[in-house]
Amino acid sequence: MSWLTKGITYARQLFARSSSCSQCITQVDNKTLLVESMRCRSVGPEYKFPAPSPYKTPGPNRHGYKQNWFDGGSLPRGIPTKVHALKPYRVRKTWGATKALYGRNDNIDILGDTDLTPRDLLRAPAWLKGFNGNEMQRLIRLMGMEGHKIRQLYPTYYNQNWRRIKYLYKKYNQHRGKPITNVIGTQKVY
Amino acid sequence: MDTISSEKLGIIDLHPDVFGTPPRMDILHENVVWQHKYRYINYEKELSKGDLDKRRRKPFPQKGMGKKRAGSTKACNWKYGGSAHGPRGPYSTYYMLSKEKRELGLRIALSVKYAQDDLHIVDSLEIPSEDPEYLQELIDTRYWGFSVLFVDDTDIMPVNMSLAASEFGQYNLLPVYGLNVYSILKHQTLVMTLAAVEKLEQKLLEQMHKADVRK
Amino acid sequence: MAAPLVRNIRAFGIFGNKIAQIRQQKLLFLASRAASGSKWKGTEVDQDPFHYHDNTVPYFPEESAKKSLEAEYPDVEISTEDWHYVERVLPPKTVPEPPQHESYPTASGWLPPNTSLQPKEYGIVRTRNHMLPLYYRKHFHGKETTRILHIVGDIWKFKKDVHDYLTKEKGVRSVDIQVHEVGRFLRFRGNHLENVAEFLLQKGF
Repeated sequence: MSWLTKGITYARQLFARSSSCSQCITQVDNKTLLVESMRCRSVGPEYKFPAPSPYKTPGPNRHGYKQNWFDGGSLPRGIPTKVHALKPYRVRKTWGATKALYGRNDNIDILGDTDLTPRDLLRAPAWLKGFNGNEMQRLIRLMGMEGHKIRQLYPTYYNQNWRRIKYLYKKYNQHRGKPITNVIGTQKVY
Repeated sequence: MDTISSEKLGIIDLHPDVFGTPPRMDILHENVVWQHKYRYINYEKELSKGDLDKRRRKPFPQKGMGKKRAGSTKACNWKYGGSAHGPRGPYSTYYMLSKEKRELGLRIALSVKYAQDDLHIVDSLEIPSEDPEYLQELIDTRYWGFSVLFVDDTDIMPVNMSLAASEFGQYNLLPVYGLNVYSILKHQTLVMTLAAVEKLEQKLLEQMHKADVRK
Repeated sequence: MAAPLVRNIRAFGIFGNKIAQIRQQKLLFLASRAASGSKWKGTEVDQDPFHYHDNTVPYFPEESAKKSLEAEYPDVEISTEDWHYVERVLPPKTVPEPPQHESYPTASGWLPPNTSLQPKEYGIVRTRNHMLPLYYRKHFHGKETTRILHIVGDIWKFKKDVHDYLTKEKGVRSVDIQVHEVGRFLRFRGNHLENVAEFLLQKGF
């Protein structure tokens, strides 16, 4: 009989709700307007400050409760504290000292009187100056040119680089019959 | 350059091979791209699995912990793990454009400037005063536009001119050997001395009719 | 005195050489001062040619080389009288202009451009080696093309004239020609090298 008792309680609840719904009917110009749907009403606590009762009531029941959702009005996302916007426009110095004569002396081998080439005027790390290669070739050049310094100053970096070279050597020659032998660079420094 | 307004001093012959080449946009673009790329170096680097200074052991046993199976904490799916396909080390995008194309680009840029009436030839770059307002007034009265590139034969420039031009970013001085496509295109007008034009023509024609192309 | 933090001086790596040089200079300075006897006299040390060069001072290798040559060989005179014999042997930098022959065509079959025959509408610039800019190429899959480069002037008129000439010579209805107005060249389908060369020489290019 449990289903019967459950059904009865459910019916009672429905009745109670419909009676509360009757309270929602408002009178405007002697006409009754019904609130459209019950579902849209928030089921959460709607009261702010209960009226002080003349009787003694057990202390603040909702003490420490934090309402996570906004119940104030038609602002579902809350009030943003920080306004997200673009940064103020900054005028770039297109005619600064570096940009005004960018690319000068790039044709010095054609127009110059000496044997200089634009490659000689590059400003770059020594192992990358005028060199375009893959990672292994770059590392081998680095270790050949500055390995003796790195070995003294940063020994872990030195070991890591050699380990990386070994790994890359295997990786590049994975699907080949013979490994690459004509690698650009210098001999290993011990 | 002694007076503010321009005066006609004479007529000179410009070589048609240098100042009358048919314009080609693609070669100018190639030149500019090369100028950007051959000096560029990317310094980005991310540590891979092998480069990390972390313990190599198995973090926890395979079974019985209610956790995932894990061999090491360095793997790329772990937090503070290495990156799998990150940028590796500084690399350069260096390559050299052929001399023929660079020389052709220079000729095209010069002839384009000439065809658009933005090329002016003067006797010398000496001006009477080092006042920057004088230079500004001179350029305004002659309608030379916002930015001007002055080109001279030698790299030792006249004192007044260099002092006056140093006040502005957009008025620049260059010797002939410093000339290139990027700065010709960047500046609105090109002002060259007579000696500079002669030297430029000589150098470019020498390159055009070189016996050994490789050198 | 406390022990140094880094015992091995090579641990400095980059600065190792410079430290050694500074020490060497100091020693030289002290030695010179001791030799002179007084504190302030004789501070001028003879400059070592391999001394560390200061980057702030401009360095002109040509001038220094001149000085050193005069200093090393004071009795030697430099003369440039017989230099033209050397110059004759050296290869020329630019391609020289062709010499005037007695009769044309020459033994190799070369003809100079004839300005009187040239039309006014268009023209062709010869290459740096005074040859016609005609190129034939056989592609990998058997396609054959010929090209004329460096065309000046009205390229469409030029194309029409070449087309008329080729059709008449070969007895065909049409020849496929591509006109590249920006690149200033014509490209023919097939091997028309000899016919086009005849046409160009007729026109005086």
